Amino acid sequence: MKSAGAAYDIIVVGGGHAGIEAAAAAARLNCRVLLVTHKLDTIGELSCNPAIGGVGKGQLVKEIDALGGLMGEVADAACIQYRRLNTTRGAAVQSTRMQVDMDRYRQQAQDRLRALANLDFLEAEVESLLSDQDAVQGVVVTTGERLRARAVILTPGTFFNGLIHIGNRRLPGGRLDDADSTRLPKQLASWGFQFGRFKTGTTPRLDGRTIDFSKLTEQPGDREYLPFSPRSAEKPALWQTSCYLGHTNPATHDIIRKNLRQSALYSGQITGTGVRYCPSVEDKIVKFPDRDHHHVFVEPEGLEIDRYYPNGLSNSLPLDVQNELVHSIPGLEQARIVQSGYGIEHDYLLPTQLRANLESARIRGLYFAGQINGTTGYEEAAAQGLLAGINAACQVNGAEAVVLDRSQAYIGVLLDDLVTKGTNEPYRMFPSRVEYRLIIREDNADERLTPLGRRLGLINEADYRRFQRKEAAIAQELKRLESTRVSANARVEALLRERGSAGIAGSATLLELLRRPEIHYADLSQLEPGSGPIPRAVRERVEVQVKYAGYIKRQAVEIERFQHLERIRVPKDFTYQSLPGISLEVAEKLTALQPRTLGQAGRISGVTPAALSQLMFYIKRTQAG
Amino acid sequence: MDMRSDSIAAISTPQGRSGIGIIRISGANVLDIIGKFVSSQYSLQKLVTAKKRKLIHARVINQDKEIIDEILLAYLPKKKSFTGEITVELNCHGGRAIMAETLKMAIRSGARLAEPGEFTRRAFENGRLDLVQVEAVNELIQARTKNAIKAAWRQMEGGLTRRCTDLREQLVTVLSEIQARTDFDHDHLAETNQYTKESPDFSPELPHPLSLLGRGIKGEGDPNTPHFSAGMIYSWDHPLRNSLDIIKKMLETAEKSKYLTHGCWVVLSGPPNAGKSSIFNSILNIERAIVSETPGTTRDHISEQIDLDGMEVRLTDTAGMRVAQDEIESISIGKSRQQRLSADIVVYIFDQSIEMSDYEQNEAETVLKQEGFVVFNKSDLEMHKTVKKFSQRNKSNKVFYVSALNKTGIEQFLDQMSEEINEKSLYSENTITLNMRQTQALEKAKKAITEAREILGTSRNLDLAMFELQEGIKALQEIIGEVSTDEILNNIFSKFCIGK
Repeated sequence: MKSAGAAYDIIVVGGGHAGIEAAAAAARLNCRVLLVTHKLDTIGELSCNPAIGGVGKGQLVKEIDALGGLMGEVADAACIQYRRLNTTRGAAVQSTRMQVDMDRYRQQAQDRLRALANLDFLEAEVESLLSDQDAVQGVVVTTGERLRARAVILTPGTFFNGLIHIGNRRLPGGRLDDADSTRLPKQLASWGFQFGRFKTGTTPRLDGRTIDFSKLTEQPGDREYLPFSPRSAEKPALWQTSCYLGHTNPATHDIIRKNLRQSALYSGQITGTGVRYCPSVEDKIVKFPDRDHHHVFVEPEGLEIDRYYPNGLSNSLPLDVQNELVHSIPGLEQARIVQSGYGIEHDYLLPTQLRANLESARIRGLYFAGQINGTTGYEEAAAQGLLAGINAACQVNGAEAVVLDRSQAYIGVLLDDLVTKGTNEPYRMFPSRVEYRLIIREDNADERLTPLGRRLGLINEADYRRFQRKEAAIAQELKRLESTRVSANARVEALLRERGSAGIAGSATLLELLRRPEIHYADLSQLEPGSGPIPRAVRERVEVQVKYAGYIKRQAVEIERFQHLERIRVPKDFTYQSLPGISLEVAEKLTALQPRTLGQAGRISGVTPAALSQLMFYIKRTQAG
Repeated sequence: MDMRSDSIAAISTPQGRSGIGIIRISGANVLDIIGKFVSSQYSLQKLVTAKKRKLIHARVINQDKEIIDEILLAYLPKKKSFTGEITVELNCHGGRAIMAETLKMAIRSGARLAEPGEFTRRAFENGRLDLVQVEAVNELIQARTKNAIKAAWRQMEGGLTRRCTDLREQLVTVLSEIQARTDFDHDHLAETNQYTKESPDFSPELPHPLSLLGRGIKGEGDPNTPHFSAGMIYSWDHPLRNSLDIIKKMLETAEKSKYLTHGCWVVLSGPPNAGKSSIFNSILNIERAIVSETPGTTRDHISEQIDLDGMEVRLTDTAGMRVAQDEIESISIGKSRQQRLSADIVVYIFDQSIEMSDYEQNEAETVLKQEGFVVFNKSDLEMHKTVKKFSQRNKSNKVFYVSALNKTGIEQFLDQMSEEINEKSLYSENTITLNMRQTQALEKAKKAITEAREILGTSRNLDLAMFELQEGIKALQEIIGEVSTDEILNNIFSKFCIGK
């Protein structure tokens, strides 16, 4: 059957956070894009908790935004609580987290997609891929319609062979009330793609009218607001709300223990590997038997929704036990569950089958992004979606692939980890995974990536000008601090004493003073009232740059060393089998993964530094010979 | 390039005429190589499966089918060889031409001439040795005294490696605890100053819908919300301090035991004509000289290495120290002074029969204060009264009276010095020695841990503390060779000779 409608450059399958970014990026890079999803209404749905960002994830959102992605702006528009996390643990590990209004988030995401001229939508289920074995050629949907395209991006999330567990009830599905997808994974498996099985879960949702907030501790947001995106308004668009903190207690724990056998997780019904970092409440009780309470954060799902997400109560127990469990928590005695919590198992693609640009090594033009690659979290999905969209568009446009390395971005670390090391548990982003985190920070995401976004064409002229103005303001402020001297006088000495700081002999520049750990930016205006108000984004970058200058320099040296190895290309089809010092097992791994660079080879598990230096030796000899 | 053929060969014994000389060949295809130029009644292929390893008799044949040598061939399987690869050692007759011809045949048959240290490098790359052991191999070869041999063996047996891995484990534990702190913001629980009762400063686009239901959005919060306790930070201090103490002690003992690896430098100083040279020569007559260096001019110094009870000692005779008479002398006296400053032990020698000036008494006392020795020569002559006074003032077991002429007192002096050196080098069965590279890396680790403690103690910049701890861990791994740059490796292996 001939394809109805025009052929597309790129087809994106799935309308989750990966699919949104992939479709938007590709469409904005002048590709004709079709987004196929089985329910157009749920594009941009927050299937789990109503929040964007968090430790390690905030950095991803900032980077997505700096490259011209959507997530930051959408979150800003839907923000109902802003928080900066890790503020007392050092400037380099701080992250933004927002509670968002779920309806508003979905609506904003959909509005932004609809505004893109090159993007078409189709409500259908993709049943199979069209391919000549070597290269993808399009998709076939359940109506039998064949849609041709030069590249396909698969973002099926948890839908591949999704299986929902509530107690001992099992429902096939990708999300509660959404059908699963079975035919496509079968076809991919028949082509030799390897899959693993992960599980994740979500909490029951509660009716706001039935919660006694007086028994919970209110947690308001920060006083000072800073949006993810410089393109967003400086102030929040919506009313700001609070979260509420409650606690489980021994009675809660008894209920769980008594019913553990009914939990899909502990009855042996679920076999997939769970998210270690976001454990179900059953997990917490079993793994930390000594603790007599755990936090439960009651998070609002939106302003008009009046439904709450009790973060910390994710479980796969039967509904009646869930009720009992919720009611044992002070403040939730009367709470009514409006949607059951559940566990979900799903297939994920072993991501080491992908290249650094997220294209499958097996079939040209076929990209995978999001939870299908073994990650967890909206932000991790969106970051992959953006890069898959950019790379599919580059392929279609005949441009070179865009690969961020580990010294450039959290996104670079995320993708490199996935395609180089793979993952045996749902992968979540953390600052500790990022070697060069003193340089790769939230506050300088734009400095690192916006020029690239501009070159690609995802950042428009006006936004780029704004970025340049900000960089200029930072440079100017640094100059001012360097050239402004304060002389020792009674007022200055008093302030320094108050901060526990040593006095100054004669005079000192503001820069010298700010370098002292105990002196903060706010103190400077007292020392030298000359300057006008400085925007927070400028102030924060300047402060980190000044205070961390020595460390930043040291890390820059490390990055140089890292990039040296990253620049040494491993010849294609290099034979590893006969290298002395490399076991057969590691050689097979290297052959399968085909690392692009010596640096990447070194990160493959089992490759020792000795083996690496051996490899370098042979590459150099091969090149010399 | 076919890397399977990359087998290396070298002559492993010193060049020249000798009873036997050994050619070593290592690599995956060694058997194919020797098959081309070694013939034996014993099947070479059988060596691979033979249960017992043995030396077999064989002949080396050149390309013209002429016999070059009759040899004994040792076959070492992968798991039993030094390099961790199949290795064959050809025990040839030790003639220069025989060895050269045989090596040439090995190269012609597909082996490559080994670079210096390449056998050991392969042992390292195949995980047979860690970096500390690699260096110990070299120290063993270079050892000139029995104590240096003992020290090298202790490194081989893994004393330093074990300590470094233990330390690394301690740091990794602390690091991962700090990481857990920064990776999980207490489930995004607010910590300290983030709370505010005031409304955020903004003008909403929409009215708050729930406010229409008459329910307060901003309830009364509990200001006493649990926050990040400072106690956590202090609990990290204990293991860090502990690691630091261990490293400091290692550096201290290594500093003292440096004589084991580098030898001890003893400088003889004192005014001209005190008999320094006579004493110098007497010592050489008593102790065995190790290496003979080219002597310098009369104004210059002379050095000799001696083996003093298993300890390597470099003995230097300096120019006489006095107020310079001419420019040349002043230069050479300046040099003597410098040598005195950098010496491990200074021996001040004086003629006891002549007057000891204030300047000289002062010099001698300074030497004693710096734990050196004062030796009065010419004890066969009468003691001058200034010397007598000096002796009464400075009663010390480091003052000796000897006669270079009659050869008396010198042995007692040497015994005392030997004891002193042994004591200073803390020579004991578990002394760990460090070479320069290891010391530098350990110093780096010490600095990093000190910085990390400082950061944790004065600020909450956990990100910086993590950076320092990672630096410390890296430094420790560098010692063992768990992380190594090409530069370090090249540097180490270049110190080896070819054939090792």
